[in-house]
Amino acid sequence: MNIYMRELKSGIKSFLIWTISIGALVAICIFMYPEMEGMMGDVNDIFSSMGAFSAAFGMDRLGLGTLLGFYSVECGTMLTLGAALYAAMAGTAIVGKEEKGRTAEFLFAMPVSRRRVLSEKLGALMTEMVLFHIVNFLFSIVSIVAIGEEIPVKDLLLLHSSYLFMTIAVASLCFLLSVFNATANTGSGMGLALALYFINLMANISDKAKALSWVTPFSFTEGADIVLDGKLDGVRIILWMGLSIVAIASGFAYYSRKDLKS
Amino acid sequence: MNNAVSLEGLVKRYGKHRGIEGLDLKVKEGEWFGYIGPNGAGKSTTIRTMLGLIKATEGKSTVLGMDSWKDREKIMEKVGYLPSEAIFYPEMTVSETLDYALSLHACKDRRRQKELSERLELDTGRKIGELSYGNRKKVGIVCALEHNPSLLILDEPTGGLDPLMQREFFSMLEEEHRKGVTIFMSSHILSEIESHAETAAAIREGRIIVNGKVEEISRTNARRVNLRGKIDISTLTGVKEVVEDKNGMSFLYSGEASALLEALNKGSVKDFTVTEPDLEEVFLHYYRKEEKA
Repeated sequence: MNIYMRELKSGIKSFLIWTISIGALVAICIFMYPEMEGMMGDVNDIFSSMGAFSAAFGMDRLGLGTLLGFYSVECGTMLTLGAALYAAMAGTAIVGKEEKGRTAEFLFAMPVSRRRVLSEKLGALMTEMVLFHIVNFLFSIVSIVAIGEEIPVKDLLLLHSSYLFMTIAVASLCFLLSVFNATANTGSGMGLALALYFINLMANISDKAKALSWVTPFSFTEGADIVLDGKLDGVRIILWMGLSIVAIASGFAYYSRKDLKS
Repeated sequence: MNNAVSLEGLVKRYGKHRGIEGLDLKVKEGEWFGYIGPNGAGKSTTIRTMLGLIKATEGKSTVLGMDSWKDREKIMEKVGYLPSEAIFYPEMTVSETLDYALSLHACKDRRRQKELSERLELDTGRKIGELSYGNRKKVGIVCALEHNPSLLILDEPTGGLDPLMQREFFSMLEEEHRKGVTIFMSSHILSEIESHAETAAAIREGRIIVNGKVEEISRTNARRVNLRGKIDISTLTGVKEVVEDKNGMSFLYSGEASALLEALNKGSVKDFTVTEPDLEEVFLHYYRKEEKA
């Protein structure tokens, strides 16, 4: 567990910055809701009838006038995008940094197998992602209590679960990127996360691009779908978790036989 | 006596680029072995292959009786490795780094770490990122020795150490050697090898060009003749590497002593010395021979 603990320790600053920043933005957003709620009666119709823009964010199906509608659109965007960017940044760096920072020679001068190094690093990465969502879930609960609204526990749990699964998928893809290309910078991982996000927006906007929703894990984080259906999109989640396992397994297979750069 | 290191037909290529070509090398347990070669000759590639950091293209590398690639983890339990450039996590302190290395060796006894740090005058409270190259090297030395390994693999170990620290470092190595620890030390400083190693090999462009006991490698029929004045060397056989200037001449001589004395007698010589060439000269001779070949 030494490598796992060291990774958590070295990533603590980044974890706190991302978690508190996103949590604070979500909290601010929730605190704005009571004020927005009064105005929403007038503008809700406008927001839901803005064609492609409304469709892109699911506002055509889930009005901003309700707490859940407001939360899944406003807070959901921040939580998914923030989580994906954080996962991309942490995932891209976690393995490659040893070769890039030239510490691989120190680490592998120890009696540790490559499998152990990867397992503990992956464990630390996933722990950070889970903790990110737990803390943000708590931020949301506390903020909703603070504005005196009833907590939609089931819907919030479903929404946050979908965000977590999406984060795991992005982190796994970036973990693979980090294994294959030690010199990959965090920019490339973040670029991948943004590309996946915008692919989802495109799939929402145009019926012709609907099929693209299968190539992005953001597709199963749609608040409108989750809240209206009252359940997660099991098929897509299973598909993406399967893909994540394949990405991680490929990473392990490649790393166990690659030459380590000095 | 068993071999601590055994390389058989070891080849490592990086695509089309040469790394090492067909190395055959054996280092016996308890031996102090010097691995000599100019920069880029393949010393680090050999070591990195031995440690399973890179996979051999062909051939076999065995360390402490175990396969370098398949049994890397077990090998590293008994090996202390000092890379040529000791690089650690800059955000950690020296003591955190040393403790981390010790914990990865599943070793809880910190007495040796403390003793080594004191001998090397290492400030363990400082952050790695603030350390000079020499001080980082000291951290590397403690990391390599603190878990009491039975084989030390040292890649250009003295770089960055001042002469006093070098002396302390070699005194530590002598102690380890007396305890039976095998030492595999790469260097391009031949005097380090000549003073400490029992056996040595020289590598050039990925190939071993000479291998054996240091004494035997140094032992040669050739003698270095330096003289003030001038003699006629055309009558001598076995003369090599002649250097002449206005004050005198210098050459390697492997012919009959009587012929040299006669030439000295006939020439105008104010002073002369005949000495055994040092290891550096012997290796330079080997390198030149290879170049010509």
